[in-house]
Amino acid sequence: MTEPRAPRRRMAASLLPLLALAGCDTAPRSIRYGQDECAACSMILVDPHYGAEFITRRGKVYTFDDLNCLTTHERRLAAGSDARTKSVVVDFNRPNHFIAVEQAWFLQHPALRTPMDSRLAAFTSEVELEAVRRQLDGGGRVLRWAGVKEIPP
Amino acid sequence: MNSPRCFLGLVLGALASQALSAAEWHVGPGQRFADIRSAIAAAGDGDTIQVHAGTYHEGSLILERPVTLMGRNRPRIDGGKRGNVITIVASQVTVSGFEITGAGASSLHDYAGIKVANASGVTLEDNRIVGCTFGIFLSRVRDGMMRGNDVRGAAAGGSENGNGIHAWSCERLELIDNTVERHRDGIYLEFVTDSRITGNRVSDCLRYGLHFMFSHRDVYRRNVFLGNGAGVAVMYSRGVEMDGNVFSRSWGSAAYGLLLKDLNDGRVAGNVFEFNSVAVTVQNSTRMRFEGNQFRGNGWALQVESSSTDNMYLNNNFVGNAFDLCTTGELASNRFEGNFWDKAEIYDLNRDGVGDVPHRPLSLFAKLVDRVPSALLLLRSPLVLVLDRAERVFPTLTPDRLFDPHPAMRPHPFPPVIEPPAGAVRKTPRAIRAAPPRENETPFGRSHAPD
Repeated sequence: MTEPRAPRRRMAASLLPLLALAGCDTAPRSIRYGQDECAACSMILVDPHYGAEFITRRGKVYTFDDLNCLTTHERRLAAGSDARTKSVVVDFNRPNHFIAVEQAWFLQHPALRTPMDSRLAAFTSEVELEAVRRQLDGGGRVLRWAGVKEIPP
Repeated sequence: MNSPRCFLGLVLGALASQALSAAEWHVGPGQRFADIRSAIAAAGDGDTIQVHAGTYHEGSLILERPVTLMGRNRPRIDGGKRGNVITIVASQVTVSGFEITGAGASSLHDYAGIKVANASGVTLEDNRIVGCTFGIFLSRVRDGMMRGNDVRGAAAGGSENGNGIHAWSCERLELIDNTVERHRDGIYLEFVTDSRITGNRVSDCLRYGLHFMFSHRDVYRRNVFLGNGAGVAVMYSRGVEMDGNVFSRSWGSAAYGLLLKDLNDGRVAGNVFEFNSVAVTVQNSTRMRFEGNQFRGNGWALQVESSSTDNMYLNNNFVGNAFDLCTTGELASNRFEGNFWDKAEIYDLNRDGVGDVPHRPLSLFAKLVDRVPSALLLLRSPLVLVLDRAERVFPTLTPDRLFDPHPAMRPHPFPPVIEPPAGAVRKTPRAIRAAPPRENETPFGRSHAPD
């Protein structure tokens, strides 16, 4: 009985580190526009200028179509095993290029028609933000993540 | 703003046009004007500009005074991919009978075939809008009439494809008998109140056929939504009525015929839900009334989240769905009454047409599949049948208070006669008829009774 089992056990043993690796993977996942659903408002993501992800310690990725959906989710979440490892946001200028929310620059502007009306776009740098702001004839306000989190729902 | 003066102006304008009979300007080969732009510049308030057949390359046209722009034999206006093709910023403007194409594409601006901003009493009728980012874009419009327009997008993904008819912050719109195809969302309404959306046909849109948010007291009647990527999504609205619509062929993992999210005090009556992955998803919605609908051939007929309370499901027909109901909770405050369930194993000894025993629409297997989707492999296995039957007799895992106490023995006639919301007794029949779809290519015009 033990003879045929041995290889199976060995295979299982070799899979273990793989599983462990998979468990630790907390990288953002590419958003499939036209397919993925927002975890807060259930809308399908379509506009590649916007989007955000919330990645748990265990590597589960929640996708959001707009920044206010991300902050709603974060507010709802109690601390626990599913707590956030990081949140990332899509670069307005580069589809599916993610920026950690703490590093991003945010422009809130009435001309930005985001899916859930937050009117917030994210940029890698202040320079890129100002370039878009000039195209929108100025106005709006510049925020960092701390400021975005304080916008009431 | 100074509305009295506006009103006075309108009255004077009306009088003047009565007295002088508003001028008529002609544009086209051999006419007084060769291009529309100069005719618009020459026209006074209340004038009519007749545009004769031909193609007009006009860049961006802007209508700033109350005029009627009328196409004869469908002239074509090509915007040359620069901004909006026609922009209307005045009230009492009518645009009809054109083919409009060549709106600009931009990641920062929403360019449209026809854009209307800050205006009232605007009529857009019988226009064909082809391959524009947004077809018709309405921003802060009151008392607008959009009728019989044919809006066809380019079906490209991303920001190059906007919504067919997009309305933001509007009041009292009438969207009637329009056709929308291959846009991002077919009809998109955000902050649009007291409006009527009737007889439109929306198909093959990338995301939602109809999508509205924060839009209260609107009425949706006799629209057809067919083969749109994710179906129809209606969210965060109160007092909405959806009667006699057809929701069909939304297949896919995130697709539903109709998604209700945070919808309160509304009515969904006499609609047809056919061949959708999920016919209706109800999330966090309260005091909704589902009455006399036809659920046929769907994967799931109803998916109700436990956060949805005080909803009523009356006299609907559930026929040929893989599952009739799925829920995450007890649905204690939801009421099922008088529905026809083709899966019900009931009898009627006194022959009053009502089952003598209740029917439990939530099967154990449906609950299992909801938890473990791959269990779907076992659909129609004998073991599952035995389990389901045992569970119906002695509910252990499914909520024991979730049942229809008076299931119908035969399907209700469709289209139904809807009773007034308050009474359970059938009084004066206020008929709400689901009109058949306008074209023959859908199989939904015929009887919906099961074979």
